[in-house]
Amino acid sequence: MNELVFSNTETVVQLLYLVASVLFILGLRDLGNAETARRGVLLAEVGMVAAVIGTLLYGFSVSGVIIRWEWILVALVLGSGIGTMMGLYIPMTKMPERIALSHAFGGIAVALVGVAEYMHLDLAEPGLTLKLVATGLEVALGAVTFTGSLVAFGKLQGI
Amino acid sequence: MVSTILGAVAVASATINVVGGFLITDRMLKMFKQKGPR
Repeated sequence: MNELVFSNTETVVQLLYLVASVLFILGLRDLGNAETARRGVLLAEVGMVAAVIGTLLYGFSVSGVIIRWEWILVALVLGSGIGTMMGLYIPMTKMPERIALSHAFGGIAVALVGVAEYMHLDLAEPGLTLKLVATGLEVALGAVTFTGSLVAFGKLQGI
Repeated sequence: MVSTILGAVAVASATINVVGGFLITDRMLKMFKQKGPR
């Protein structure tokens, strides 16, 4: 986007991103001290919500890439449900295993986004090689993270 | 359609990560404030 004039929605999106960044930094600072660590997590959580809302708003109103919003809603609800279960009911002694699983989820998400991006690449676009390399790396790293984390999980579980 | 499914699975996985991660972090930090005056 080369226009100097931002739409109102775009301004709101940029402000949300700015708020998220500030909250992340403040949250990280608070995490450095045991007294304020929990407040730091809270700040980071609010920042994350702002970032997600900003991205959704951007997809809906600015770039228009979000078409099947029902799927996003279902995925968000499902993910929140599973995440809450895992967050509340996994015993503390199983933390290393949980972290390994969590990394696997992150890896698979990155890899899948990379695959979806690859499918929508415009072959006539300038700078295609760079995009191809970046997308390829994204998929490769995501897949390595996914399988590696599952192996780590398995080893921790003694499977 | 395929990318819709891929995206949905990705969003679900990432949400599990974020929600679960924040909850766990808070649970762990809760255990730190046992001793000392508050």
